[in-house]
Amino acid sequence: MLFANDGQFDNITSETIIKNFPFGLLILNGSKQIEEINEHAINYMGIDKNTPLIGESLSRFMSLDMVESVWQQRKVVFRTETLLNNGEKVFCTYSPILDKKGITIKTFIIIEEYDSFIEKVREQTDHYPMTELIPLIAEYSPDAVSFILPNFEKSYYNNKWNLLVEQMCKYEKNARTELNMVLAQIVKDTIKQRRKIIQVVTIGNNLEIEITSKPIIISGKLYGCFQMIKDYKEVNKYKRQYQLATSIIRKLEKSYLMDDLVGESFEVIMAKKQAILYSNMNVPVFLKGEQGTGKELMARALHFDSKRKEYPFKIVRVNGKEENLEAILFGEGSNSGILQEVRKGTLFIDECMAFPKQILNRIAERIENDTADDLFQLIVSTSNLDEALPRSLFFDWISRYQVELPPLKKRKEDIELLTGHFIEQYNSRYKTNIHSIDKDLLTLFQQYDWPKNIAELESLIESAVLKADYSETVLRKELLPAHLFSELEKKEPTFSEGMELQQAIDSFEKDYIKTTLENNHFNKTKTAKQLGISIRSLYYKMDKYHMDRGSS
Amino acid sequence: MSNRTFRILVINPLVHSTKIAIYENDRNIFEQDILLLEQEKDLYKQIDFRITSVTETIIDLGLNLSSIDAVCGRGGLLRPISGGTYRINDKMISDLINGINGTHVSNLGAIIAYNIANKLNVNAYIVDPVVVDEMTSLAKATGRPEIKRKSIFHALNQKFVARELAKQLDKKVENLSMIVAHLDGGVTVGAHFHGKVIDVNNGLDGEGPFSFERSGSLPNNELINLSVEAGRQMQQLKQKLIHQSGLKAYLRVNQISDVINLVQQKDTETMEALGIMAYQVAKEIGKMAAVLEGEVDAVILTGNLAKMHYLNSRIINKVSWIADVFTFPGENVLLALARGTLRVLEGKEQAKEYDF
Repeated sequence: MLFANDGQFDNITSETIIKNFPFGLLILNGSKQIEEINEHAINYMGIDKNTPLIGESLSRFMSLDMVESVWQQRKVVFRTETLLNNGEKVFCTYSPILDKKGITIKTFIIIEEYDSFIEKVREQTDHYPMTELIPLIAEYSPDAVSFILPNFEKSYYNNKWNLLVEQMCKYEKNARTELNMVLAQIVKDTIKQRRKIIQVVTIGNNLEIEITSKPIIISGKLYGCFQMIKDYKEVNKYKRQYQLATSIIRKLEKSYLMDDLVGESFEVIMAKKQAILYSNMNVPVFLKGEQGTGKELMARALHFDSKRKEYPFKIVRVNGKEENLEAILFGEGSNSGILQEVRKGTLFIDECMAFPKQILNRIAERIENDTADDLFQLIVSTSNLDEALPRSLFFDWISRYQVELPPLKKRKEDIELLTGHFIEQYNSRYKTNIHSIDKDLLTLFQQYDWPKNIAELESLIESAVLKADYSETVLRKELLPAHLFSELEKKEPTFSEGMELQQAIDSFEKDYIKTTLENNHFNKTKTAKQLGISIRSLYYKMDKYHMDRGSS
Repeated sequence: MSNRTFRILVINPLVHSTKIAIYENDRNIFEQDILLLEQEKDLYKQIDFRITSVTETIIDLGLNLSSIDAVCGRGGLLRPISGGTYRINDKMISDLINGINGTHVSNLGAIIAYNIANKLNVNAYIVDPVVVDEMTSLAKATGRPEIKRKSIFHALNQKFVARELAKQLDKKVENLSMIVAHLDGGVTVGAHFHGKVIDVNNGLDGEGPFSFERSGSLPNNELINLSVEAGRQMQQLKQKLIHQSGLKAYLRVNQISDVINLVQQKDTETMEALGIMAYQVAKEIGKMAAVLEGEVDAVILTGNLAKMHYLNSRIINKVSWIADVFTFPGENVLLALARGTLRVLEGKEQAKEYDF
């Protein structure tokens, strides 16, 4: 603020100062009339040099609002953008000149040229890159991007954006308008929430667009908004292809994840949850399930989908090498043994009931007595569901952590899903184009009992896909081996019209025995008891009806 | 044992990426260059995320990490050792971390390999690092008693192509005498006597022919003058001689592929420069022929510059009187590492212990 000396400037000094001042300078008296003005001010304001100015009211050239407020508040206002009556723009700094009592007697205005000031700001700040560089960078982006900046006055779209919008909205009436409205709303939300928003929106009947919107915040200040759009169906297509490829690799590599255990039935979901729970608790997992229900797959998934995945997974089976099993597991001489090699990882003992009791007991003891807590995760399995578990330290211990994998016939609602899953995998492997399954065939599938479970369904579908040629799109009966249908269809009618009484009785008896067996997990002793016949009689009847007397 | 298939994870850390591959015996089943996303300048602070990125890349793709039988890393600047495949041990890791012979990105190879292998409870190896030293004491001596020559060269590729040729000739490297010229960013020419590199020019320190970017030997007097001129800017002079000389200085190019393009266009300047280079390489091969007392079974040209038929034929014209000349263009670090590891896994060779 300037203080006048007795209300007056020293004439010589003030004139010289005003003339040589490097900015435009203008002094107003109490009636807001021009008292002093230098040449710079006249130039910047775009006023004709011959116009008489001294004594003229400033209101001829610009609004007096700011002068009034400075006059009253006696505060300096720095560099405000001021629009003149003739359309020119300048920057003005207003300052009151006060007398000794602190009362405003004059106003002092410093005027700066608009363009050169902006240029200076551009040189000194990042304003230039913000407006010029970002669009340039956007052109190099492989994605469709836009910038709304700065202060949301301007928006910029790269070529890919325009092309994508055009392509997507080609067949949809009003889609473009609708899209623009959605985008504008998302910009508003982004700015309001000051955080990234990713949203998939549906426009019209079948346009799905993934919109990513991000606020541009530099040193805490919001400059604008960045947006990226993608055709969601394309995104999904590639994502799906990638997922399919990795799932095929996992299958070849046997490095399954939990997602590879396909199924939405209650039984499967529960089995998965329980197994994961045990595995996370660092207690052993005992997998029970018929052949082909996916015990090994689950054991592997429990390893490869856990924090132990960077450590080894080892699988042990008895293949008639029982005599050196102890050495293989616990080590001997220079061989450290599998239990040591698998530390921090997962050991899977397949068909544990075939293992010598004392070895299993030794493993249980080893785990129970381990204090380091980094030994290994133990998973064991059995498909022998008929026999009661032997009494031993190991089985008493392990049976606390049982997980049962249901047979396929008990999760028939998963058959369609599983069929689709295998068709997709084998399509990719054998370059076929099957994308659906014949309804009647699906019904047959659902009626069949699948004694060998998922493994059987999978091999069936593989052989069918192998037979299909490139033009085939539906999985039909004709692609399956004929002998199978006698099997599949055998079950359908229990008895039909025109049967002799004995035939119908036999047919019923056979089905009844079969159902009872299934309900008792093929445990023959229990079945015979329930049927109220001797076990010998059950065996006789099973042979009569050509039923498999094997363990399952 | 020999019918078994082994899976080998091979790791070659580079400045801006980590190159990995999985081999089933010597068949490459997967290869990827994993870009370094973190902006960490300190090499040793990169170790953790380089390890994570390697295991995650393998796992995310669905490959079975647990099926890996051995991990092999590119060997770094260790103490001078004889050639071959070494089991990585704690001593080696501590030498690499302490940068006992210098800091270089290849030092990370063994560290990453060791870490991953330890989790899987399998062995980790390095094969023929640049510090392989099998030079005779005679070869190490110079005209100044206090100055000894060092053995620093493209050991991995030189030994790899020597073995390849031996296999093609149905012989063993242990029964052959060969001269291998590796022509690349640097040029080293080694005298391979019965599987050992008894003399080789130290391309890094300026011995021998000029290369794509190195000056090679310069007259002592001129070099002293350059040094005096450089004064305190010695580091800049070194940079100039190591990275801005040779073909780069003659032809003002930045990549070997540019030279290959120029020579295809029969550019006179390029052909002249390659002529000088061929002359120098041939002379170095001649020296090594003398080291081997003329008993040379084969001369091999390898490395990325050996992709130029023009250069090869200019060299061959000058040295074919010594022995038959074979060319193995390019350099396959990953395969060479996998082969070295495989020889140990198959029991054909015993892994050496790094023990000082």
